[in-house]
Amino acid sequence: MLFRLRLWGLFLAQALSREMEYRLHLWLSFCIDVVWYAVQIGLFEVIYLHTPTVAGWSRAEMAVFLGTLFVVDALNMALFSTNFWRIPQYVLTGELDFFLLRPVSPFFLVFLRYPNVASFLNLALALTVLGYGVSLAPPPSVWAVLAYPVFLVHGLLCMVSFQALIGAIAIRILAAEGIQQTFHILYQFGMKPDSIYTPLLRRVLLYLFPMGLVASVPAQVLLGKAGVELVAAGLVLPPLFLAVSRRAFLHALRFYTGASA
Amino acid sequence: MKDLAVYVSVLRLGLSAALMYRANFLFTAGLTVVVGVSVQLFLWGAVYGWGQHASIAGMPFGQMALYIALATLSLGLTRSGRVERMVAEEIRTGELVRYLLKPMAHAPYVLTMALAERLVSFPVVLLAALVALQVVLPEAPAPLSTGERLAWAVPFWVCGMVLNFLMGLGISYVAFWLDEVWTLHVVKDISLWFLSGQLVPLSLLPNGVRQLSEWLPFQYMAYVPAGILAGLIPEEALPLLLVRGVGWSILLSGIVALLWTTGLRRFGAYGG
Repeated sequence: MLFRLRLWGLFLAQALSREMEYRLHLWLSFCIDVVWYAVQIGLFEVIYLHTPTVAGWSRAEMAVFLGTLFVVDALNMALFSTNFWRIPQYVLTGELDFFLLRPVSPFFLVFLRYPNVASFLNLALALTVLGYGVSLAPPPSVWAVLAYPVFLVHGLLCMVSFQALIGAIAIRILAAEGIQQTFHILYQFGMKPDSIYTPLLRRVLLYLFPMGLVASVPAQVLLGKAGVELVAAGLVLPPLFLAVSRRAFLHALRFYTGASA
Repeated sequence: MKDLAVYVSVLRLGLSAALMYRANFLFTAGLTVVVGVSVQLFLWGAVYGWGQHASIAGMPFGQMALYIALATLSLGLTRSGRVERMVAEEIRTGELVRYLLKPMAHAPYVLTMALAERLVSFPVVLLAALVALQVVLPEAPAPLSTGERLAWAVPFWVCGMVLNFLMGLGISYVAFWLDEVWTLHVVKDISLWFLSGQLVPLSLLPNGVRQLSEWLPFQYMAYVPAGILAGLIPEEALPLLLVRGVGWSILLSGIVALLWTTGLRRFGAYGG
């Protein structure tokens, strides 16, 4: 574990020195998520001009939800997302050979090789939005504050799991750009609180396709709104999803034949 | 006449290229529209309290739902595509020289290729709009007949396509000065979700912001065509809106031409 942490520290140092060469690119990448945050906040600000609550969420609670969404998203962007988008290129160019030959887990290398420095800046902004939301909402209980980081990490695990599954498909079908875009398209379900959906869809988003666990459940835990079912699902399912998707990804690697020879 | 024949050939070439990606287009565009519209409808259903509020800002839920579906389709149709974005890559790699040697201007060439790309998606969007108007949500108010609304929407869709194309091409021409401009394209696309009125009708914005949005070009990409089809925009406002849209197109064309002229002076490519 310590070895992997040290290795990731080296990846981060490399990424940082690369970004320092192209500083404008770093700031423009930072701007992308700033604009995305502004659009999400703008949408709900306009909605709350016309109604006091949306599916049981007040404006302050929605700010906590958005803050949570932005934090999980920024962590995903900082750690995994850049790597996820590179998978088809690894397969087509044969670059994946070099990952498989290293004495480290290919899952670790494929998903963590290139950290995104700009997203660490976004993380600071996301935490500010979260802090603002918490300051508006009723004070959370001590239990909620202690449990929240665990659910936040579990939300991130759900994102990684889904990307790993799509990555596995990308390895199998080679021309995978369209498949990769499905992640961003379906991620839209996780960008809104789960209580806006029908009971059946909420179950699907909780147990089958866990977008509800990304931000909705962690935010409800912090706000003290999560019932026993949500807490149990949020604790148990994400590690399970990760184990299954990691296995699927490693299984897909068996079908990779290399392209560099 | 000879020029026209050249551009018809370019259009044919563009259509073949666009059709090569038809499976990818149908899959991603179809899923984008279906998921995007579904999530938005769930959200607005919750905003309306699942039928508890008869209307919000004078809009009944049926009209809002119709608007959201059509605004998503409109932005999907008018958004800038692969062709304009590739121009930045061609400038960066020096491949632009290939076009400088051809007996045609660059912007009209790219416009023709982009038009071919849109021609593939236009019938799909038109059909989906018709289905939304006639079958899915027939209860929306109808100051104009379906035919009249579609007839008014088409020139605004064209206007939205031209404006979005010019913005995309302008951003790509910034590649004469910057190495990488894809981030600017992404920033523009994300901003348009809100500024064009895809996520929320611009008529729901606070007064000052709404008045400002009426003077900006972004509304032509989603709000105006979807607003016409959903019965949000009165017929008497349409001629002035069209004049403003054409005015914006002329202004942006001028800016794009200026970027091209000044950028080309800095451009250098070697080998080939």
